[in-house]
Amino acid sequence: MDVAIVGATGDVGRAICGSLIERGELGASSRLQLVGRTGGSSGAAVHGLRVDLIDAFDERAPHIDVATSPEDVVADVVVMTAGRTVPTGTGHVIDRDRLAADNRKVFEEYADALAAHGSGHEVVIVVSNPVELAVEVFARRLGRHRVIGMGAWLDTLRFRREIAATLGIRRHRVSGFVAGQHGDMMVPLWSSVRLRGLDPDERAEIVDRLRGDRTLASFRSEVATAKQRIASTPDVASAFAAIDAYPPDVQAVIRPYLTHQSGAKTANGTANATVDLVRTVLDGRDIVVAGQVLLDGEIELGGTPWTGVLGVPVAVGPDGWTRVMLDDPAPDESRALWEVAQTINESVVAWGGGAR
Amino acid sequence: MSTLTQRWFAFVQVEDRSGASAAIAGVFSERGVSFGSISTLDVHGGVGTLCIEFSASERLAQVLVRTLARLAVVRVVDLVHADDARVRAVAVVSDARDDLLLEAAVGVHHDEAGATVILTGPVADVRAAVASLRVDGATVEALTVLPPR
Repeated sequence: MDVAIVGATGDVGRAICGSLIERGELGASSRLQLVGRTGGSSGAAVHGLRVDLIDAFDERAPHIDVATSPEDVVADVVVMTAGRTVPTGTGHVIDRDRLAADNRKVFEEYADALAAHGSGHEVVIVVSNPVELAVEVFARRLGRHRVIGMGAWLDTLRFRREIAATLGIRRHRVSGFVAGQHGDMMVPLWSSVRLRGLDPDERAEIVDRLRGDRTLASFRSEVATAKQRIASTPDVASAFAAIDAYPPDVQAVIRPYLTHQSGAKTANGTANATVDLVRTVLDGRDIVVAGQVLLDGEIELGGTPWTGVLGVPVAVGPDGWTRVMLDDPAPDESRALWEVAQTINESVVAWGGGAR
Repeated sequence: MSTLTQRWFAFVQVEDRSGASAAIAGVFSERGVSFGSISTLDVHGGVGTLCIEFSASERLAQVLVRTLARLAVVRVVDLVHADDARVRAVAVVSDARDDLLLEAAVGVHHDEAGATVILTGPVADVRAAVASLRVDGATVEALTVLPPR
């Protein structure tokens, strides 16, 4: 199986390339396609990246191919990391409207090229932001089930890690999903949390203790307050330490926020979550993950079948996602998802997406 | 063969380098497509041409060609439908009866000793002649498909 990384020379693209090879996800007869843009700096750098990867991983590297135009993207799985990124550093305001305006053209260019020249079976994993807009653009052109945004899976892994850290266990002992919109407007599905080796009663007791008497009705205001407090903490080390006092779901939002504010980036965490999804597609078995997908009535929100992009748990296999696995969400989860879903649809329309 | 699945020839110009054949074979085997036949045509100046015969839907054939073209060792790939009348073949046959050779609708060229003949023409005609000669006891030593002209 072949994998193309569109935007391979960016921080996340590079980390994904290295991780895919290092973790042995691509066999010797597979091909890793590094995609840059003719005319941009990535068009030249992508050739150098190829050599660097071969230098590093010659013993186990797949065929490494370079493409510099959207028409030349050829792969079974296409990872979309191209486009402008959210700036890092203290005080940077994230202007998602500007980001959307700049990146929409990039999304459309690659989506149109894949629709025209592709095999009709590529699975696209979207990393670029705004992920909801990118999923919408690709899904409308390629088919809904072939396009998955990885933001909800990254949020899910962060949520699980914060729960695990609070309990003093490893992440792989925790399951549970995050839905909604990637980032501040994520919806932590506490009802889906499972802890390996515990009976339901034991689990319920621990989850109640972790969560306290809060519901999702207050989640967004808690996140906003936590951000303000963290921002006013005098130094970064103290700010990171202060995060530990918050509940796991709030931690899952503000720890990556502070990572960005610190001037560092989240390239490795993002790459790891992306490679997880790539492996799931390559694996050939249906596995439940969380991802941003374009829904068309698979779930009901606010009493009506919902249409639009939303992060939800989905079964993912070699042909993309098949089913939404949002079984019996709690009332506060359904309410929060409905509110977030409406906001996403409004944003996507404002950004120039929506039905064509 | 289903109506979806058709027979194709891919003429692949490939660099004469170690690992080239393995890379090409990997593209087909990863997608579960078997070679009907594979032969090496001219090899010159560090570049050779392979003729690969296979069966696949048109969509999958295009995927294979686009994927082959992305390999570093591959220069050019031409995909031709197996029924394309422009595709030619050459066969080397020995111990063939002269009267059957006269009936064959292909070019017939004898070697000096007369025991071996070379048949040339459109691939379908050469294959038909070879099948007929084989039934009669002739030995077919080689049959190679040539690019369309």
